[in-house]
Amino acid sequence: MNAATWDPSEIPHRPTVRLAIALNVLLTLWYFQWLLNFDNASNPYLYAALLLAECFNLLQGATFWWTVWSDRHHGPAGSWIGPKPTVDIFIPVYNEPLDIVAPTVAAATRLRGADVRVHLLDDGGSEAMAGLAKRMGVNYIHRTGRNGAKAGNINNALGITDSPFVAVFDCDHVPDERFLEATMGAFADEKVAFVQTPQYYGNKADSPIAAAAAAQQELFFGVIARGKASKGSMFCCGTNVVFRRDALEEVNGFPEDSLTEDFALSIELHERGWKSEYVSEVLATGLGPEDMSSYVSQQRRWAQGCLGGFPRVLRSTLPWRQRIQYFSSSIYFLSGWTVMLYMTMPVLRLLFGIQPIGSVGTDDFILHFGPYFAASLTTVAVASGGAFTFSAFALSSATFGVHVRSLGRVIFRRRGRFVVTPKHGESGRQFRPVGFTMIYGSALIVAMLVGLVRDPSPSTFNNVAFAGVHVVVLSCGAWPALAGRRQQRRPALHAVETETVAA
Amino acid sequence: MSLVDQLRLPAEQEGRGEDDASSSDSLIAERAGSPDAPGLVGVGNLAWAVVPAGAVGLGAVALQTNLGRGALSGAVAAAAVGLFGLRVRQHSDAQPDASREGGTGQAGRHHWQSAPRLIGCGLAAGGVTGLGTLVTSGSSTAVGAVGQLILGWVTLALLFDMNADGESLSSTRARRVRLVDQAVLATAIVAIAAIATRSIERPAAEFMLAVPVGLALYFVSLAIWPSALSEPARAGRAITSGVLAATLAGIGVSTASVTVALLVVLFFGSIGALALVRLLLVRSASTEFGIGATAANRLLTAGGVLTLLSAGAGGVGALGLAGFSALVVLERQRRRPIVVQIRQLDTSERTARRVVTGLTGLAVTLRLLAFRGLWLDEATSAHQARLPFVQMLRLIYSQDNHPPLSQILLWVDVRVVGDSEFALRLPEVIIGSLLIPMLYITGKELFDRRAGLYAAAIGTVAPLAVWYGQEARMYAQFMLLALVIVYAQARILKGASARYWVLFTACCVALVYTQYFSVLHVGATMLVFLLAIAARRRRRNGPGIGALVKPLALSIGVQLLLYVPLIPFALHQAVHNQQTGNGFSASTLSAGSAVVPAPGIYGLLTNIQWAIWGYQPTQLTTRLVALWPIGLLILLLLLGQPRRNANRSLLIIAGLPVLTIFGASFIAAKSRSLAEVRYVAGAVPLLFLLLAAGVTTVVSSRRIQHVVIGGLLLSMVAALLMQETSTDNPRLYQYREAVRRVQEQALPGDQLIYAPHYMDYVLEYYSPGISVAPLEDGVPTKPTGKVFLLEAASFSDSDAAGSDMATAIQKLENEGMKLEARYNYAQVSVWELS
Repeated sequence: MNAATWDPSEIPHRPTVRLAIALNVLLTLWYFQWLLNFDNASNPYLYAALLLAECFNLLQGATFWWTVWSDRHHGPAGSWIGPKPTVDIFIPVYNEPLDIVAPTVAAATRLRGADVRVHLLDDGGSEAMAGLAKRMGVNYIHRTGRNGAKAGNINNALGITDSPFVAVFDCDHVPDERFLEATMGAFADEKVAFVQTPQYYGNKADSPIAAAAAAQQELFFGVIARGKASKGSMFCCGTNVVFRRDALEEVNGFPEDSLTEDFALSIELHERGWKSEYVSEVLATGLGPEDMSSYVSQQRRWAQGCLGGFPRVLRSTLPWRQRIQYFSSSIYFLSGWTVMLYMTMPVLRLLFGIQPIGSVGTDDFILHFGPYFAASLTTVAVASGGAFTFSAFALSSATFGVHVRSLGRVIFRRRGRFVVTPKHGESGRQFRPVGFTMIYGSALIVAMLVGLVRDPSPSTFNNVAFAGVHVVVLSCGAWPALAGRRQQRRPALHAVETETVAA
Repeated sequence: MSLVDQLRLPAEQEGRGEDDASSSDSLIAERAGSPDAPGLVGVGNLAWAVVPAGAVGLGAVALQTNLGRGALSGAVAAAAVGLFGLRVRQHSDAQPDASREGGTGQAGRHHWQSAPRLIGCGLAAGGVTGLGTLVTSGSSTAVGAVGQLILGWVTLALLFDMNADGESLSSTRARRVRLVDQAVLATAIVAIAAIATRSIERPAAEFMLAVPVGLALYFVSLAIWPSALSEPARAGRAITSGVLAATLAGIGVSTASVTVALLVVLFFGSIGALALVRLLLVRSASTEFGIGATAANRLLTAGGVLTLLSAGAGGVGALGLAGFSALVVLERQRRRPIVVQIRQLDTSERTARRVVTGLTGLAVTLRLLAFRGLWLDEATSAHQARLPFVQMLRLIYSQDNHPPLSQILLWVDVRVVGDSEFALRLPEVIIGSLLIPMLYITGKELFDRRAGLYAAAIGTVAPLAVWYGQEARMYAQFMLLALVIVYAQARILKGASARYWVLFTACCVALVYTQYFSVLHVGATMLVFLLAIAARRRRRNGPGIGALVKPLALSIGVQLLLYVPLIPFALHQAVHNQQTGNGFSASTLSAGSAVVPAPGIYGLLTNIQWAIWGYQPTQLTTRLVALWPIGLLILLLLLGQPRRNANRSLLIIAGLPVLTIFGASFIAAKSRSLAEVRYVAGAVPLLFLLLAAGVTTVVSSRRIQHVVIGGLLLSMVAALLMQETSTDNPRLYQYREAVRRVQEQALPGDQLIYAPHYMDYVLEYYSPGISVAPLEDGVPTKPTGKVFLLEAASFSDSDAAGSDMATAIQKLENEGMKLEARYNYAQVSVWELS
């Protein structure tokens, strides 16, 4: 396993992080006391929208600071005391390629620290998958129907199996043989319902999208997950996780009415007083989305699931610290709206001459906004130990449409479909996933040209620069889809293990 | 023998000569004392006597006279006599050694140099020498002696290299002998020509005594105590001889304390310089020539020498200097054994060096293409540099607000090259062009070769670097020294040898003597050292901090000691300027201050824009500054980039002075004149390095790197064109054009009245040929001829001057004069009344 490129257990220098947060808080206050001067408003509607967006950012920032402030090491749990436990290993599959599934099954059979019973939960009913299970000597479970998608599949398996612990791995996440040794000790506390471990994408080098998605994951499973765990609020992320069967049975298994069954399950468990633990060590290597379509599909599911779970968070009887953590995780998927608003503003200014703030000098604006912006980026950079990259930011910005659309679907109660994230990247150009982005990018470019032709004043130049920044960010984020170039897959352990299967 | 074998053989021989200085020196010391090398005994030691004595003597002449051509010719003649005698003795004694070494395998070896290349060298040497002489013959400056000495030296170097057939040049000693040969003969030839055509001033005659006296004392000491002395003992004896000779010469010339003090400084300075030269000589390489090429080359170069001799002493001018630069490059290429290149440099490095050489040539060209006349500060510098040395220092001490080093350089330049616009700007052209290879070296040292190349390319066309590379002020020097300091520090932090500590210390001192604000740069480098020490303390298994702390303490000590003379100098300037209203809180005279925006964020952004795209018309500047959101993009691009010590160091060294000066201006200062990029010019090349490194770090695709850098360079070239050609450039002052217009229109008896009053140095330089007076003295009553009124704009007191000028015009019109015409130039207006 090649986890050397990222070590989620590495804690950034805490005084530096806290200093960055303190500075960020001060500079945010400095910015907001200036922003909230209503005399500066030019167009009241835009000004209100800007205030709303900035307040949303502040909310996100504040929860991030709070989470990060408690960052601490979450190493492997202590050893399991007593006779070896029995653990059911669930590997849900649905028409994934054999060469992806086989290494995961093979690795699961080699897990140490417990008596493992590996079950291949095939919702696709594939003969080949059954053959694979037979060859690998693992249990093959297939149900009739596909109710509840992945959650239903697992729940079905829960009814068939009986080990006191259940580990779940997505079929493209190959566990390290130390996985159970590093996690099972946490169940010494009888209130612990599940132990989550990081998701790590081993195909970062294969695709720029996978690399950017990995950077996003590294931010979450690094500092954010550690911070959440420190506040007892780490939620289940669907894979690389071990559950106590009693806990699952108490909540009747995974909720089948959610697109993010793991998120909803975690709320249920925490509400019932169960605890969660997090081991910040890479114990499984997975595959990230390699093309834009896969990435968008994955993000759409997460966004719709988490936004759909937002009312559940509000209704919950969780303690405030947990509720705030779930709240912040849910509202992250609204951030696409702020991106869209920020991109709209220069367009409106260049085409129609309306802007949220007027009669403010450059000095005044930069003096307040510049330090706030720089401090915010610095805090993220320092707290994440440099894990979060520009590519990750650009990819997230370029897919802002996913958030916009997801909110719409949640509001209008359009039921989403559980779509398994494709495991092999598609070759060729993919315009559809970035169609919204391209429309916005084009609008920005048109606005820049029109603005420059109409009124080449310094103010126009300033808005052109803002628009240009957005164009660059969108272009960088969407470029892998537009270029359509696909990297060669690394001969990673997946490929190597496939040979074993073929043999 | 294969080609590779042919190449390897000299390489192995050269390997000995390319060893470090200490081993070479020990070789010299060992052989100098051996009985079979009598001719080389004391060669180096004699130089220890001759060079300081010569420096002191020359300094004495320079300090006490305006150093006319005769004086310099005399000095050169004296040096020629001394060195020539030395070489005659040395040559006769050295024969056995040469023949001995010639028998060790060098003779008969094939030469790597091709005949066409040699002929090309000869053609270049002969052509440049001849052309340079033709172009500049008849010049009245003193440059001829030195310039033609250089040309002659280069030419003779070719001749001597050709004559090296059969003679071993593999040893360090032999190479040094060869260089002395060249120096002696070139000096002699030029000096004889100078003496034959010019008289010798008395101080020069005094100086002539220094070298022979030094030599005589040393020889006498050897005659009295001929036993084999140790190397230090010989050196001590030679230095004593030099001191005695210099003292005699100094006493003969002057007894003034300042002069004597400066002579002492010169003496020790020359010893230091000699040590450096020795080091360089020891490390220099050599080669031999083929017979056919030798003949052709001899003919061509001899023609050049004859042309040189026939023209006598005179200025060499631009062509000669440019040619000399080209020859130096050729010579360097030619002298460096090709095998060493093969062994030490990979293809990329060779290509990179060629690119940097080309960029440097382009940089020289761009900096020479200065179409503008001198502005106020340059005219002030020209005025000071034309004064005798001591008088100039007194003037700087009493009226200026800058340290003296760049002015001293300009003073020498005026004596050697002249005081034309070209001559005044030449030192900064050279220094500004040296920035390019230095950017490459530093970029390569801190990051990688690619970053170094990008930085060099940016520095070549960066409008601000070009602008100050064209200006007869200290700012190009400020940039270069600040960069060298960063380079030396980077080497030191990588555990380089003591020589980088010497370089670092010397450049820090030179920097502070160049610009007072550079104290901030030096302070920032100290902070970087402290951080490095702290990091080493944390990292216990790293290199010992003692290796850093002790030399750092020594460096700081030496620096503080050397700053001591500057402190009273600076204090006097500060107090005087404050008392006369020209200090840091000045609200009146601030050259160019009207261009500078008020201290603040906008002002800072304007300065950043200047640093990257140079001085642009105000309308363009405001638009470029409005592009500041690009900075947000840059911040975003840095997300996730690995933290590098080099980045941190550069940010500290560049950022601390900028923030301090701009912060102080923003918070406390009354004057906007401080918040200006030229006062933090040392940060500019560091910004180029950061830009280059940023591109190589953030952009992984080489093709996109080229696109980004290409786009940046393209924008800079466009900005450079605009800067150099637009009359709306707020930094352009067309005093020269205005005065020329007056000259064209004026008749004897006409008058020129000017405002503000500090334009006097400009009018002294660009003399209009009629009577001039400041407006402060009042307008002429009942003038008999025309009256020209000249008003300079773009100063913080320009409004007052403009108002006074309007009143003056009104008064003259009341006197019955009629406004004939008004001429407008960049930052200057002329009214013609008759």
